[in-house]
Amino acid sequence: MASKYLKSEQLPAFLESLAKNARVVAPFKRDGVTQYEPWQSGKDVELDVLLAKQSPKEYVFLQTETYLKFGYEMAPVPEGAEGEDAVPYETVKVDPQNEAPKQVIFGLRPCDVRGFVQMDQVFGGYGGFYFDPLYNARREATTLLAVTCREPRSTCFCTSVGGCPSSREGADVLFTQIEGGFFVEPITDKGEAIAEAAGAALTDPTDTQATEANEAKLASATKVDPAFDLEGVRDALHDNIADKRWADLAMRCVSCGTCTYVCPSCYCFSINDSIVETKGDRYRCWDNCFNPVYTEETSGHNPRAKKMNRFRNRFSHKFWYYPDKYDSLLCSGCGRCIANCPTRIDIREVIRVMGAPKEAPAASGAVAASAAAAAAVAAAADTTTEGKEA
Amino acid sequence: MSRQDHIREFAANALTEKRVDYFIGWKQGYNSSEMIPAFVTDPAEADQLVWNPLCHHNLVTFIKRNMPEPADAKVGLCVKGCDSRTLVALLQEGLVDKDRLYVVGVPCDGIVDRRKLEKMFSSEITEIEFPERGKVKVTTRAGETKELDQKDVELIGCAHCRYPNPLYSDNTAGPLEKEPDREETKPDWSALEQYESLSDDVKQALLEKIYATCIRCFACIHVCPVCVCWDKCVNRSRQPELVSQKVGPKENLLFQMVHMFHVAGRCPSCGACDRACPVEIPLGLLHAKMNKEIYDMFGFEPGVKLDEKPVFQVFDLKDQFGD
Amino acid sequence: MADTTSGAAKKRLTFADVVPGASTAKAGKLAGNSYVPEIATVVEIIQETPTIKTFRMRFDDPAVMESFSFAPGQVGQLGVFGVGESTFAITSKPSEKEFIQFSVMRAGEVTQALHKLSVGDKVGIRAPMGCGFPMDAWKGKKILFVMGGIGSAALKATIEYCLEHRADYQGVNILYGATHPTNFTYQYDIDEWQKREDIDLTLTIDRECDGWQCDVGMVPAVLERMNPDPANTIAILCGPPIMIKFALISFMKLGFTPEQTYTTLEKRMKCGIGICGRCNVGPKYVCVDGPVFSMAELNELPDEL
Repeated sequence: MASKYLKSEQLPAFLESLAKNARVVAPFKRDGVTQYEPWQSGKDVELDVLLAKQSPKEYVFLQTETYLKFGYEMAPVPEGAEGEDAVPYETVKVDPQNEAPKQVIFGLRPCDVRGFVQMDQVFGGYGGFYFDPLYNARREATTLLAVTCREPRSTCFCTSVGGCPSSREGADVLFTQIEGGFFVEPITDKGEAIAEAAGAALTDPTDTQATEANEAKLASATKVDPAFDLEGVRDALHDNIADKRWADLAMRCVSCGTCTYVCPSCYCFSINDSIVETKGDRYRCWDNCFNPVYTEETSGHNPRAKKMNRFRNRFSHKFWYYPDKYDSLLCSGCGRCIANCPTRIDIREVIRVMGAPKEAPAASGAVAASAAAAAAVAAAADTTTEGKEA
Repeated sequence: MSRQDHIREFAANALTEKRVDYFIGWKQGYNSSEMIPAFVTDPAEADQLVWNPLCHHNLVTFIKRNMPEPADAKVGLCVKGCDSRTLVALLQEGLVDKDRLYVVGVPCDGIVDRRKLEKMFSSEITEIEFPERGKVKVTTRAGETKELDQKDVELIGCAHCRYPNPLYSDNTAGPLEKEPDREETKPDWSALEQYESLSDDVKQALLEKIYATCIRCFACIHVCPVCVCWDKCVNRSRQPELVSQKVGPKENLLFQMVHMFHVAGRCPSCGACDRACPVEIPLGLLHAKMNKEIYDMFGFEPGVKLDEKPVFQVFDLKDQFGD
Repeated sequence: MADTTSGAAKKRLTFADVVPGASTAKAGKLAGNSYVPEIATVVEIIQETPTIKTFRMRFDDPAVMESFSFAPGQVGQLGVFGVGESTFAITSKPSEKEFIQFSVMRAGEVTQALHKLSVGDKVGIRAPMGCGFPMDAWKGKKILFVMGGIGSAALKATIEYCLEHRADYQGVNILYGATHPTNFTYQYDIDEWQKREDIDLTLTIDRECDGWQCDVGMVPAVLERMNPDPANTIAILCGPPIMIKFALISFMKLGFTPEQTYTTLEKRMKCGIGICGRCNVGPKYVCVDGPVFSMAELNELPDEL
């Protein structure tokens, strides 16, 4: 489908039309804090704040997801049973839960979308691993309407990890803010269906608007500061595994889980049971590798008892372990972990230091990435049809 | 000589004399609007240390249980007045070893609330300067520049600070700040008035709303200098399931209540939890409320006198539960 | 670095691509809801040692019981509803069709709950998980089992497999150590093994004890005294971390290479299907890449065992 134009004044009507068939989720500001929340008529979408505090991953990968309800009960004694068969006994009934209502997430950034694309590998059974029914049910029921970043922050580094502020990768529709409204590009079948359903709210764009959108995309890409050169990072992390500088970098870490919970691609979780009398739930809830008891075993032995080991695990997971297993990075360069860390631990610094080959000077990597910015936009434009389902 | 120069000199000397294995101060983060904890091991690197009203981190966090690396390291650190009270609280309980510490007290005339600043600008703050005492100059990524009075953008606790000067230190970085007359002036709890005027039902609803956004990242608990259970936190207990691992308004309220009660009588409201919370929950509210109750009941201020026992570690028949 | 663009080259799998209606116990990868356990009933409980019980369980769904099979070395998640799940080695014979068996040492939340179970009680099982030992590739070799304490549980099925296919292997040699004679598991099997001529069994206890007829000494020391020939041999090692540490040193002294020395790892696990991220050692997940590893593989991993 061809590109469209949406007037700013038409945005509420557009969301209203989406809300007829699905829950709409968008960034909203409450008490000065922007977060993704279910949209309600009359609420103004917040697009000036570049990044909500958290990525919208919690709408697909729930922070708490009860996937099993169970109950102990007495098994019915068959009629006419005698002897041992007539003795009542206790049994357990389980009831798997996997609800996935239709939803549309509007206003997420290309890096947020990329978080989903990256998580898709682990939950989607990539490489012959298990296909996660809980995640995928929600993922398939979700449509992603991304908005090109206008003012990338100083902590953004998407272009250094192969992304771009106007990337179409994984998005169903890409919106780009231009004079008076949005340039709208449906990308996938899902996206086209949404554009069609919107009807008259979307009009045909003029050539000027198309040019303007293109310029806006180029401009935003150049505003992302190069952070490091990805080339060789995986091998360097491997070679530097026992390096003393890991401990130095980890010193100011307080080992909380903020970075992982604001991250669009961190996905580790725990499973717990909860029971009251005879009825209970089994649920999974976010957990994180900085939790000191995350790996602690019953014997008291803890493979990652030291803060340094936990710290090293997170960054290595993103740039070495995960790429080895799933052929994908686990970082989309949103920079939330930097801006929200209580002590502002900077993933870019960690990669510049620990991701640099052992002999080479640490700082050299940053430069090459700058030329990559414009190239990233071009590359993103090339992926027009790739997201389409056959 | 500025306070910053004093800090650098104390740090360099302590490192040179091998009095400490490393020295914790503050340094600039990824830009001049962000100060971060600095760990210096080489005396030559002491000049990366800075002191300005953005140095909000309570460095006492880094000497609590399970934080020093190695565990028996001799550590030097800077403390502001409020920070020093958390250190005294730890010392009162014997939770840190005085002999392994070297403490540089930094008299403080107020810390800037960076989040308050953020909300005043539409663009990201990338530069903060202090052209003169009491003035803050903010520059945004969009290039906007604005000069503000520091008093207008300080942390909520700074306005009523009773202890601008550290209560415990081995050296002091420069002259002391002017102290309020603590005999005459009682602690100011005016920030709580609005909350206290609410009915119980409204309070309950308000608290559930405030904590609904909690993501259980444990930042508040891990940065809290007096929260020391760390890997044995009751909030992580599953059997018995004292605090549900589920995330929801009621569960989160209980989660935060556990923290509040556990640090009651030890928390001097340093505000570290408030500043660490990634979703900006006003965590200090309940802690301040608890401090007020304890002050009203026992006349006790946490972390003030080294030879005093925390109020909940003594039993006195004369203690009264209010009137 | 591998392709890092995480792009459309890797099409996301959808429900249309996977086999519906299967669970871990019925099918393997890419199928069904692996989080949902199969209900099973405890049919027999054997008190092995003061702290270890063996549980025999039968799946309530006869079709699941019928189709259940596993490879020696594989593990399963055994859980009590309301308390939680933990990972245990499957200790039944791989050919066993009547029940699935786990041996459990009383230690934490789940194991304490398991120890309170009676015959007839219900449990949830997700099994099998992980990779077993490459038994086919080892045909024609001598297999040396070195185990201590509850480590026997991890190797029990593999020993049974070797004994059932005894002709496929040149030799079966077992060195089993415990702190005290009462701490040997599977005493009934040990009695059998001692009678068989085609198994070379050495038992040892840490300190001398009245009435004890066999060896005395720590496993690594006894191993060195045994002086096994590394030629055409696979050594499989399981026991407490401290035993593994010193036994490995002994193996290296005896001329065993890391490629012919295997162990099976334990880690805290949750999902058991390579997703939750808990049991990783570097890029390897113990639940799907393990729990069986050669020392050569472990040497490549970060020191986070």
